[in-house]
Amino acid sequence: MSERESMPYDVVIVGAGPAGLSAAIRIKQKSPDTSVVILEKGSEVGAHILSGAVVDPKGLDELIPDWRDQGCPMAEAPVNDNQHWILTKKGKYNLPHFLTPGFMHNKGTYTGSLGNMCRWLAQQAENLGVEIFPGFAAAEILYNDDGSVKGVVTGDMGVAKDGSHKPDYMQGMEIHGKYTLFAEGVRGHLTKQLKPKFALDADCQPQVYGIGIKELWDINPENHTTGRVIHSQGWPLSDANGGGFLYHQANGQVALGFVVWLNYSNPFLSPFEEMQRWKTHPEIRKILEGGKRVSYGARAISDGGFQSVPKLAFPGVH
Amino acid sequence: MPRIKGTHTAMKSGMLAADAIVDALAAGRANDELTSYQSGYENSWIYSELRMVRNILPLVEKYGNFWGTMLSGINMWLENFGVRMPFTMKHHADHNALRRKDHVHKIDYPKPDGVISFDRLSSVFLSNTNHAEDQPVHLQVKDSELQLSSELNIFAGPSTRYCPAGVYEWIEEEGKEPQYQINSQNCVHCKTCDIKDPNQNINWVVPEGGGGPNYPNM
Ligand SMILES: Cc1cc2nc3c(=O)[nH]c(=O)nc-3n(C[C@H](O)[C@H](O)[C@H](O)COP(=O)(O)OP(=O)(O)OC[C@H]3O[C@@H](n4cnc5c(N)ncnc54)[C@H](O)[C@@H]3O)c2cc1C
Ligand code: SF4
Repeated sequence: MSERESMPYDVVIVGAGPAGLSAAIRIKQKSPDTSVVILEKGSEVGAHILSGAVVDPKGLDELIPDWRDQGCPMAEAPVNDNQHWILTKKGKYNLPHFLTPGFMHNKGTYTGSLGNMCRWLAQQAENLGVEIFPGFAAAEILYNDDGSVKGVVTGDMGVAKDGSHKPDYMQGMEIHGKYTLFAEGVRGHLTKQLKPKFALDADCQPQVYGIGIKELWDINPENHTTGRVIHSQGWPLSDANGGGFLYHQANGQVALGFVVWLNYSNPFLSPFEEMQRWKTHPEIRKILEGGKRVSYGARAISDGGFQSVPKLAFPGVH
Repeated sequence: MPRIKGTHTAMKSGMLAADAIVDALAAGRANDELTSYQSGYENSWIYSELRMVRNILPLVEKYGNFWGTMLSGINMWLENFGVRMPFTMKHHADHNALRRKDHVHKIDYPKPDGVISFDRLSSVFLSNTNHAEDQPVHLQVKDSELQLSSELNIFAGPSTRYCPAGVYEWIEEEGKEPQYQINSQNCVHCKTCDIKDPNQNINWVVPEGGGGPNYPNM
């Protein structure tokens, strides 16, 4: 096998999600001469991003204080109505606000597509000189002789199922960095290898996860109120924990989804079917009827929070 | 759902890492441990925010959805005033949670109506998922014997239900050993199989770059 080509950078970032893009932008803001590259496995930035989302602007405010005036699509729909429903088989009642104070009120938040927000962040990053390579997956971690992280290798292209090389075969490249940042999001494939190696999990509880399944609908304008966000609990889930969300976003669309925590015990449970059943509840159906589903997807969520944040720093990496 | 919510905390952790890297590079360092990242994290608002919600999930797990939420609501309400529950409850790993198929009840789901509710395949279609054909399967089953003896025979094939893209199928034919079929071209990269397989026998690795869903605005 021929030597792989290699490219040196100051900083290598794996993943163009909000974490990776924010890191890249911040580095370039503080130190414009630092070379930064981002690898993204999706065909373009945003192609693999799936979220709700109701976004607390704290992060954007800190990173790009005038984001609202810079065309960030998240500014389109400020949250102005926040409801929390408990569903029974046929009915619903609202969870009184005083039980979910301050912290959960979504005050000052925005609702929109996180994928589009990432596309906008990527534009800001590129304007600052960050190189972004969409369509390149980081497949392996490279280590220095002393065991520290040296960078990553991008996946080979054009390998057949049986391992043979197809005519369009292209060997992966080594991307070297003084520091490598793994921002793969929940359950990263490389991050998973790093955890045991650097004992990142040693002092914390096992991470627990949920699966979030999401659909995007164009709904009947009569049923749409931009900025209304609804969370629901209760029906139809009885064998698992979780709940639904329904966010009225810009352009007459609602983003709706259902989260099932993956600590469920009955193997006959189907998060997908729970979601489909949830939509048939009279209160949800009322909103969707006459509308059209335009997109679908799913992504794991990490609900572990504080007890599961592994040790963050390890040699050569974040 | 509590407002742990991730996007702003993901951004903040990215910025904290950036700060630590910029300082380290300015000091001429490379490839070492960024301890200032850990301490930056502990001093930031992410730490206090996640600390505030740290008991929500375990409470819900222990007391069920409704009362768990009530309790965690109260817990959070107290924490807003600086009153902390004196204990931190423990988490358990998700893949250990499944029970044997003969110890649980079956669940009947209604058929999709094609108007409000749909089946898996018409759903995956809307994710514009695409993988280059003829490439090594990126969902690696480490021990296929175990998949049959445990995933199917003990746990009734949960992957056929938890996968939101219909990637996993057990094909059963008269007089033949059940075959595990993996439609990897449909995978939307959610990572649930990597998390929930009861034996941690499925390893998700990256497929060829550019493959996967093509979400327009999700
Ligand atoms: C259904 C759902 C609803 C949610 N709702 C909300 C909400 O309302 N508000 C909120 O704040 N948060 C919400 N979240 C959580 C939020 O989406 C995440 O916290 C956030 O996306 C995490 O950002 P990240 O940058 O860490 O990872 P991600 O957003 O997962 O991004 C990781 C990126 O890295 C890429 N990548 C991964 N591995 C590799 C590799 N090896 N090589 C190359 N590229 C790679 C991926 O393709 C992806 O583009 C929700 C999540 C889900 C699933
Ligand atoms: S990652 Fe998600 S979509 Fe892909 S096979 Fe696993 S469960 Fe199915």
